[in-house]
Amino acid sequence: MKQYAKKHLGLIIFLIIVLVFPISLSNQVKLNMRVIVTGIAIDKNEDEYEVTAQIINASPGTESPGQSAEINFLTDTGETISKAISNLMYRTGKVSAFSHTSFVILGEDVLEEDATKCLDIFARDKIIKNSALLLFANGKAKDEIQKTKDLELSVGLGLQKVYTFKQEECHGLMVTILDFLNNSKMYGKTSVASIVNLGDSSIPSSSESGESETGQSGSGSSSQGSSSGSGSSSDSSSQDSSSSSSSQQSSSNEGEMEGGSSSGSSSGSSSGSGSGSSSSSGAGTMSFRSNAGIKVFKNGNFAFDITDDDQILGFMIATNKTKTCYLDIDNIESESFKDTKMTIIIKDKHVSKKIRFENGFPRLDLIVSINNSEINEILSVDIHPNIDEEEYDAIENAVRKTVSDYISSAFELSKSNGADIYHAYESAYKFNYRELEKYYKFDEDSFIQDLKLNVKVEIRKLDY
Amino acid sequence: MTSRQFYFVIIVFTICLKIQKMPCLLYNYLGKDSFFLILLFLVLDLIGIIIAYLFAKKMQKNDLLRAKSLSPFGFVVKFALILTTFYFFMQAMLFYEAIQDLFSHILFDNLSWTLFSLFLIFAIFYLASSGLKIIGRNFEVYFAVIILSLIVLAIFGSMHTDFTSILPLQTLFAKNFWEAFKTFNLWFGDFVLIFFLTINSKETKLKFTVLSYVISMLFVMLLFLELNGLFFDFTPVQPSLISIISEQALLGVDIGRLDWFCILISEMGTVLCSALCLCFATKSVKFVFPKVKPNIVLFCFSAVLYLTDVFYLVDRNAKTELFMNFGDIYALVLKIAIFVILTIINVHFCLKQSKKKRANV
Repeated sequence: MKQYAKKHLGLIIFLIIVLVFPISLSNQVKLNMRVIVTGIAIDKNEDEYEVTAQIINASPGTESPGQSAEINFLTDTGETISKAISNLMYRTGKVSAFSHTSFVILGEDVLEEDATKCLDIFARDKIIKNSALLLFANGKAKDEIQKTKDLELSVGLGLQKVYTFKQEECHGLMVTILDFLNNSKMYGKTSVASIVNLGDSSIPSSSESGESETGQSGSGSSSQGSSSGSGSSSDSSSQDSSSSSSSQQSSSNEGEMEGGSSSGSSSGSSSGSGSGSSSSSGAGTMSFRSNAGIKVFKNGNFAFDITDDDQILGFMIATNKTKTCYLDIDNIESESFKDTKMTIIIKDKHVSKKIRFENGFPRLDLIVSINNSEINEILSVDIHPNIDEEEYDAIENAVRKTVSDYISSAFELSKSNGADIYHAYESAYKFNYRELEKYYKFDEDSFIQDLKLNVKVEIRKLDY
Repeated sequence: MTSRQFYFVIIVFTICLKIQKMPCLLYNYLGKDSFFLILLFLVLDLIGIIIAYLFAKKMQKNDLLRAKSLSPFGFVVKFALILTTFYFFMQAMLFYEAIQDLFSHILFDNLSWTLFSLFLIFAIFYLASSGLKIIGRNFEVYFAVIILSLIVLAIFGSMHTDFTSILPLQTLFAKNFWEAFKTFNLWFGDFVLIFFLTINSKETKLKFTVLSYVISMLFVMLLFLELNGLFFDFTPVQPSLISIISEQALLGVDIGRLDWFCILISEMGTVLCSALCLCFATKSVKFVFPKVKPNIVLFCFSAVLYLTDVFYLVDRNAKTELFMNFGDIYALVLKIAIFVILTIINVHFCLKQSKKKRANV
């Protein structure tokens, strides 16, 4: 032992120095000095970007079990998104952590320009993940993100996980920033993303986007008492040093911390957050509107919305990212099911795509194999405990026709707008390169215009 | 070095060198067809490895590695070894720069790299000064966890990869492979390392050497496919392959990126490889200047490495200039020179031996 120590004395001395070296060498940031950004909303105001961050503050005693974190919001503006983020983080006086940012919402005003412009920062920045969920808002993204305060806490913070589940159930799309950017730049240059639409959970859900305004003001009006005065003193003093206030409405909200427990009042009219109750975030008074819609982009520029329920469902069914969906059919050609509405649950499906060229024109064959489905509900005057073979065939035909119609409807809408939502061009480029070169010389627009869709639906199992 | 350590070093070295920033830079030249360059280098390097291995074994067997035996070639061999010193030093820089990129720019961007790097350079210095035996043992000890981490990262990466991104294959031959071959050859040409490893190892077999190399390169190719199939045209702006490949697989995980454990463990391999390169650089100098103390040489190399990293390689343009503009020609010339010199030495001694045999007869 002594000999070993003598032989390696230098190393032992070095190790001791390393172990006792002051930890401040690395400027460790304590937990209460951190601001964790879990979501970002981006709007465009004339020449400036307005960025709202959903942040989690670790409050004193948070380490003890049972304490819940609180969602707050910070808004600031800047000529670029990086500048806006830097401005608003400067105000908190704390160290910001972006590695937990899981979603980004872009407002409607951003769509006037190339949407991919706003997302460039996320493609380059090493800290903010480009695997974050991308959503679009009808209206201001700031208003939508502030509504997340009234979702259940885990939902409000974990929108990405929520949308992953929603996607499986055909209620939304979990599109990451990277996927969106890749699709914008590659092959058919068509990218899609979900519209986020939160509303008061007491108001029945509707897919109309107009509802979001009502929902928003509905919650806004109840939030007059909601706060902005509860921010830390560093924030209130830094208000005056705001260098980027823009004109807006209650522009005293700019750069202020919003949300938090209610006390004091302020303009709050656009805060849309909370019910003014003193309970912390996660009151669960907000919920997602189902089928809020899908935004489709071509070359990064906004092309059109898919808002019709049938078209949304058709689009969702045609992708392998979704699994389960509820299908309403009422066109069953059978005497016993005349004037009957039926709900079918598709529990498992698989979609395969094949591109071929017919006389020089592209044909997309979409084969939807429904591996497992079930008749969930029959709305009819009579009860149908048993279904005979003829009726069963009629139901299957109705399912096939409905699915085919929905998918085709979405396709026609996309085609009329010059978009390629089923990525047919990509398939042709990869698997039919020679024909694509021969007939279209890689002209995507002509390809999409001439593209025809054939949908084949195979039902492997339909239980009742 | 034992045979097992020999194979482990080949695998870890081959993989760790190529999974840093290089794949992202390569995309600018070849796009989705980057994987094909790996195949090309695999074939070329395999030929080089077989030749280098056979030469090394022959020289080992005929005891040609002593300075006395090589004295007829005097200046030429010494010159080649000086070149090799700089080659290994540049490779050590490549590894070190990769560590800097990860720790300084991604993981601990608030950290003072100038100070943190001191500890790291000391660790590399200490490891390199311990000798090849200790380095080999380290590779043996850490091999399992490093490879397991790499496999986990590869699995994570494959979950979201679009493997059809390499299609269509018709575009393959339209690319300028020569330009990419020239620019990136510093990252390849592992037969130089294998020559030096072989002469310092015993009981190694050619078939396992070849197998180790082929498996490593195929694994690297898989990682390249995953990177390109995930990021497409955004590959060049990614920080490095190893740090980004698994990001998309952990969506919705509340506690952040669990894969960072695997990335950090994989980077241990990078640290070991950097130490190995410095060790070989020192050995080459020792052969040329036998009277110089190796630890002093190693200390100088470590100091230069540290200073270069802190003052010069902080700039991305400087890295590009050094590794891709200067390094490519240097490495290419060196590999050809080594190959030629080894051939001359072996041919000379073959002729000498056959003369002796005839004389005895």
